[in-house]
Amino acid sequence: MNYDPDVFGMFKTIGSQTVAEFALVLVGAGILTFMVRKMLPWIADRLHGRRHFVVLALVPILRLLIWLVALAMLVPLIIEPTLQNMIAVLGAFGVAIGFAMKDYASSLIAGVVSVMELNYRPGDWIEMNGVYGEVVHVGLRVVRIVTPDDTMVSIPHLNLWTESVHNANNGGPSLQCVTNFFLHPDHDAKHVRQLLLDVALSSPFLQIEKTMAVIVQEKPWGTHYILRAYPVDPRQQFRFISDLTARGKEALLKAGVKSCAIPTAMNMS
Amino acid sequence: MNRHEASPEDPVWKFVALDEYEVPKGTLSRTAQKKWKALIRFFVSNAGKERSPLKVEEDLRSLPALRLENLVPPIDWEPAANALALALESSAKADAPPPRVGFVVGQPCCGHDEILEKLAVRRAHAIIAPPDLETILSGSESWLEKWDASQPWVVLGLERFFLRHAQGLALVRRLLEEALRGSLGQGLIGCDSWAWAYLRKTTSLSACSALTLEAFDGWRLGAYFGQSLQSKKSKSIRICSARNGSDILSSENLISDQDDVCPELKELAAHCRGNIGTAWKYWREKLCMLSEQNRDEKGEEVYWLADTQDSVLFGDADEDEIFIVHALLMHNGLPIWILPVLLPISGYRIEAILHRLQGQGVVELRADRAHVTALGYASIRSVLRSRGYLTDNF
Repeated sequence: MNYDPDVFGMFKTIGSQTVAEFALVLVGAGILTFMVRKMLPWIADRLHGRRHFVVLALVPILRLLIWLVALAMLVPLIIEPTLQNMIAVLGAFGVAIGFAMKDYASSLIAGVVSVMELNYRPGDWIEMNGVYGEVVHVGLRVVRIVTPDDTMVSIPHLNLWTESVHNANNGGPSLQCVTNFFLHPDHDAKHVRQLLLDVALSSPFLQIEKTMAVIVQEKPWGTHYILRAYPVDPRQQFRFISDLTARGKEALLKAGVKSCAIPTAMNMS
Repeated sequence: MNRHEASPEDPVWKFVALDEYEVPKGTLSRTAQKKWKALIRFFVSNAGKERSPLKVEEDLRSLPALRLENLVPPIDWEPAANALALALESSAKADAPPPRVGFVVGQPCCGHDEILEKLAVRRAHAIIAPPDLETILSGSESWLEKWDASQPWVVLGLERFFLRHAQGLALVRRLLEEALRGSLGQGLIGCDSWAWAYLRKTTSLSACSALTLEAFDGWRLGAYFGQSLQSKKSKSIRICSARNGSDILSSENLISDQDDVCPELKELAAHCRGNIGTAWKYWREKLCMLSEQNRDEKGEEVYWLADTQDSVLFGDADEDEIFIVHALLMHNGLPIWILPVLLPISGYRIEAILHRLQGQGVVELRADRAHVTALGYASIRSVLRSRGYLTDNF
């Protein structure tokens, strides 16, 4: 078998100094990444409102930058960085990955795209692949979500190509919460509507500067009220909905409005 | 006669329209210093240590209660009532026809209810007592039927007429509707600034204008505290900064010009955001002496003002603590039994939290009602604001 001597010629001679420099860059990038992963969420936890989300969103961007800089420093250590050499190496690398680790590479690229397009950032509440939860980590290959029942779910970025991503707060502190009330149809809808608005106004979780709304829909089984309001912090969403439900039930009971008594499996939408 | 009464146009006390209120600014160097300290606290926090009272300078001693009472007597709201009367007269002249109902908004500890009470007594206006909490929660509007619209009336604190509860707003909404329509006759309504901020979002108050006490900037504070010193005519008194020894106030030489105001007074005014009630409390808290023999070579009594910094901090408060202090501010104090009705926190936990907050100096009990303390107010307000909760407009 004949080998083209030029293929080996594009690599530099690797001596002990090159190995040391290579290791130093890798370790340095690793340490920086580790610090970014630990320090920024720690700082973000001590901030509130928009600043909390801005700091969290910086984590994947900084990690990507650190590894890009590291790569730019590593490649010239082992390859003579001419255009011809780079095309040859990257081409060979691309073919190898295309055959052997197609999905892995696709996830990596989607990971970079997700950082650029800001489809999701740490601190966002997203639904992807039918899983709803808070994004706690945007890695190179997967996004990690903690669900409300405290389960960590890792979803490959690969899903970005085919699935839709539902982002409830999109990098900010505003997250709309929806509380449903299913009532017996025999009542004064105007009064109940005002009562539910007052229920929201009385909750200490309420972000009072944001708009609230009560939507009323008549259904075959009764009347469906949808109370839409925003909590002060997205992390309060389930406590907020629970509080609105408890307050709403109490207020409706006092007002003599009965809940819908018919058990139904109908589609509520 | 009280010396304030002799001067009905006392320049220290002035009422202005709510949107004309300007928060006093501190000096640049002290603002930078405060930001630096806040940054250090951000990174090196120790919850237990941070929220315990800070040490006063070691050599300084607190003043005995009697001496403190003499040097910094309780605020006399009479001149403020004079100023309010003047402001109401001039606004009545300006508005044609004058509004049937006027509003006066006061920050916590700024005595809006005392001021209005003095004015009502002076003008022989009826003082409307607030309904009890059960009446408010019943949502019944029959309480309003007893209202005597034939004579002018004064509501001392609108914050006592509602509760942040689904059933707690009906009465105040009806009251305001009737009052603004003019069917309750002529009246004056006082309201705490936090309740005002909430009621503007929840009732027909959103379009109403109001008067408020003008911010106490460094000059006003100097003039006010100087008057207290001057009333001790037999003695010559000087107050110096414990930080750098410079003169802050002297009974012999009162501050007459804005340029003569020392940075300490400017800082105090900025720290308290122009709130005379909290500034008075800080002044009392920070006034110290070196020893019993505190006279200088000229025979002047010398007192020292320790650095204006929060002795009560609230930075690491959890959600339940936030809810409790927010509810207390919103209603200008509440009986403890009502807190579990208003908040999604159980009674036993509220008791435990209140006990803890009392220990930290954040909350105090006055006449069976829990209140936020004057010394804790600045820190609490800043935390609530930074976390996105509704705050007053001051």
